Amino acid sequence: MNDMLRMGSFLFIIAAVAGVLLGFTEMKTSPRILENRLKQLEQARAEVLPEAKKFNDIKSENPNEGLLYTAGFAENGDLAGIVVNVAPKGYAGPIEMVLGLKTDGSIAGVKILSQKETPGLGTKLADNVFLAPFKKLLQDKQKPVFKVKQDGGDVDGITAATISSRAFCVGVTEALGTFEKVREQLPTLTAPTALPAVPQSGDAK
Amino acid sequence: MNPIQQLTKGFWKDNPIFVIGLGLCPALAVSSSLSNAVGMGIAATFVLIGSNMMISLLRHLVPSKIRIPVYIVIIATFVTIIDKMIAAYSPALSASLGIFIPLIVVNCIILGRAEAFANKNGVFDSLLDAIGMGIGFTIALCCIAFFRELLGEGKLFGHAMPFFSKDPALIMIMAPGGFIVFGLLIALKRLMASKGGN
Repeated sequence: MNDMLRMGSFLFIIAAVAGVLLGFTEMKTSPRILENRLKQLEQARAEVLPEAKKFNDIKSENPNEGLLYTAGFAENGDLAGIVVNVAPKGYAGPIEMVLGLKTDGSIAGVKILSQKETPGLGTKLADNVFLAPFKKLLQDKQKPVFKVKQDGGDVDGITAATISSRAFCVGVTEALGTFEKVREQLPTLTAPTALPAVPQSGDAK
Repeated sequence: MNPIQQLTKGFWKDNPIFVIGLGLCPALAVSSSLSNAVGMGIAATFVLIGSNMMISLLRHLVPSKIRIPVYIVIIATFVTIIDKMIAAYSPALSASLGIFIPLIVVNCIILGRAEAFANKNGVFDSLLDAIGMGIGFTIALCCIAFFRELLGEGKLFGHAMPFFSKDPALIMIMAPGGFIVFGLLIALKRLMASKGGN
């Protein structure tokens, strides 16, 4: 009995110390991790919509929905396109993607922000192995079907990572859906006059 | 065993993958390309160093009946802290290694070395053991990945190789290819061991 108490309390102490350490680490690192993510997002925006120089976050009127999309404006204040964040469900968690769409609804760029796909297989989504043929498809074909070839689409999926490839296509379709939904309100948007859209990380560009 | 032997035993003689047979699931899952193999190897080595030293320090305190749950708590805490630290202070490293770190929790080399070595030996020896085993793990991963990437994709470190890139055998980067290369390499290692005496 005495032995059991001793071991139980030892395990308790170890777990308590581990808990405190983890809590402390979380407290110290989470603001920085968030900041890094914002920077990454800002860079990704500039990458997927190269024409745009200024960005303006458009939030839904319903506060629960949060960010709808980000409008990008060229140097002279004209609307260059929109940036949409999507996170389709991949093989082992959400695949966070950023898509840049031009004002005519065509895709200007795609970037994978984070993913938890199988290393060596699904992770190729972010590689040129997958993205280069995808970009070529966008140039070559007027209205490509965003499904993998097995499902009757035009996208050349990754061998041995069909679920990841399908998720990518779902993300693209979702972003195009967002564009269709907000198409009407696009001409009413105006460029932000003063500060850049995300002032916390203004030096990222 | 002198310190040099302590360090180098994991490279070849007691290689964690080919001889001890620990950590096979990451070895097969991540060895489809050389850059992944190097990334996984480095991440696992860091965690191994930290957990081996920590467990060696605590080895007189931990009651032996509950040592395994204690080790698991220590290792899981360590891995999580490293994961958060890298994500906060080195986003570039996190982008390339981050995906492997959660996989390390299930890497039995870490627990295996804690149980088989660190709880019986001093801190310095445990450090050497961790470095040696980590490098041995990396070497083994790279050996497997070399053949799998070359034969399965015709590439090395993502660069296309002449001749091999013409018609790569895709099966080699998928799961069966991992088993095939792994089995042949173990056979080769045993053949060399039986010929050479170690």
